[in-house]
Amino acid sequence: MTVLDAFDLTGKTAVITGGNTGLGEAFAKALVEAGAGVALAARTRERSEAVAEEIVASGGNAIAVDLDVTDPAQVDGMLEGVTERLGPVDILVNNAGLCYHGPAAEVPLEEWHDVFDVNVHGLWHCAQAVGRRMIQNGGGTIINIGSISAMIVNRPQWQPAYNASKAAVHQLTKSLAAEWAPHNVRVNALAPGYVKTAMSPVDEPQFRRHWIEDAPMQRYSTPEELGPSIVYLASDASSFMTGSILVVDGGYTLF
Amino acid sequence: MEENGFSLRDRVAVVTGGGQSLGLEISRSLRNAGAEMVIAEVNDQTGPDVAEELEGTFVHTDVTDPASVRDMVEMVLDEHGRVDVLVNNAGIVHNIPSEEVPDEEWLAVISVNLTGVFWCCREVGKAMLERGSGSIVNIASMSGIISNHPQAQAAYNASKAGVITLTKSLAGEWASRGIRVNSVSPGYIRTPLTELGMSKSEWSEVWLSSTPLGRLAEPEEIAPAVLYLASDAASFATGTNLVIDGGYTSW
Repeated sequence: MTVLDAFDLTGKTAVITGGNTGLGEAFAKALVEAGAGVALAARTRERSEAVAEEIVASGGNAIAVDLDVTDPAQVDGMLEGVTERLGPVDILVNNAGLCYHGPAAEVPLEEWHDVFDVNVHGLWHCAQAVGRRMIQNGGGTIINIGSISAMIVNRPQWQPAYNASKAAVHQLTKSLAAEWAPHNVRVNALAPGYVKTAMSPVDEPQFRRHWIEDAPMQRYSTPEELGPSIVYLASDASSFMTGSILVVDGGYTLF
Repeated sequence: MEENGFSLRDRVAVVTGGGQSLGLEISRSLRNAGAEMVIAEVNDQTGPDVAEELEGTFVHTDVTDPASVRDMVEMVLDEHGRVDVLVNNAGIVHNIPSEEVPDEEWLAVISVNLTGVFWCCREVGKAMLERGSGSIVNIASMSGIISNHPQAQAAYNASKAGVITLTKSLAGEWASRGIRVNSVSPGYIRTPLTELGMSKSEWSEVWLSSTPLGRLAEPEEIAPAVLYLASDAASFATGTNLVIDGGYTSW
């Protein structure tokens, strides 16, 4: 056994919410590379199927599952479906999330609710349903996607609901970790900085001054660059880690 | 696993205190991942044995002595040409009530745990900056975040808080020049450092009941984190403090 074996996920089953695009897609592919079978649980089935097919074509194991995280009934259905098709869920990556930009004084009520419905309540539904099953099965690993926005206030754009929702995710991570540690369910969060995705238009010139130049590394990340961090958190390589927030932000929160 | 960037093949890694305890496990893990190992160790008994086991180099190094650190770096550059990874692991702890701490005990802990980390970062950092790449992992502790109890160890705790902030400072300074600097903050690990505490029930009961996972870490549960941070797997991480404490700081 070498140290690299600690990162191996052969035979494990992982669910990635929002797993068909951006960060979620990259996380799914990284987990597949490490040997896991993955369920891409997302709202847009066509896209999920396309990514699943691509993974299968390259020799991995992936399925597409319909999931709107804001609907607890769908979360239960997802869990049953994945368990039936891939086996008991060992790894849950709570990645589904959304963000609106706008000054606090002008945020429409429905946008505020949207953000909390997906980023907080949706994550809670998934963590509770899958966590309950992990306890029954004797253990598991949950990775919540938090954000540096839980620690700092982004600029120049305003995004009060998103920032507050991610702070909730970080503290929920610690709460579940402490509560479920005796059940061998580990709960940690990854807090990325700026990553090039549809949600974060990192190439747009109006964002360069703060998003790029404020970061000590003077660059943004690609989704793929964060994949190994998920493998570390999902695997036995982090077996003593629970309740931690892993910040991977090019140094953004240092300044 | 190498697709994910965890390999250290053809990289030169220096581990201070690499001949014993957690440092030994870290050295073995980095070697396992393919690194050419340099064991920078003050202990002339264990250092050479570990270097031989790992087909690496032993360099007698006293991290509290800047001249010794400079000599170490010079020798590593002569023999291996470069340093890709530096793990600052050497550390000591004294459990003495603060009102009774002798001057020299305070100075000893700070000299090894904090000043020694800086000397090594500065000297190895110079060589890394010249090449424009490198990864430094400092072994801090949850003691840099919380105050351990029931045992008294103010110097250790302060030194580890210093390591966490030194890490962030160097990360900010060197990020745009290709050097990443991160820290790992373990909770209680089963090592000779914690053996005494585990033998006293009034200590071990508090330690275990304060840890949600209800146990100590094995050294091999910390070493993979060092590999993760040292390797390209963490290429966007700098200034990060990776807490691995079984949930201790959640409570």
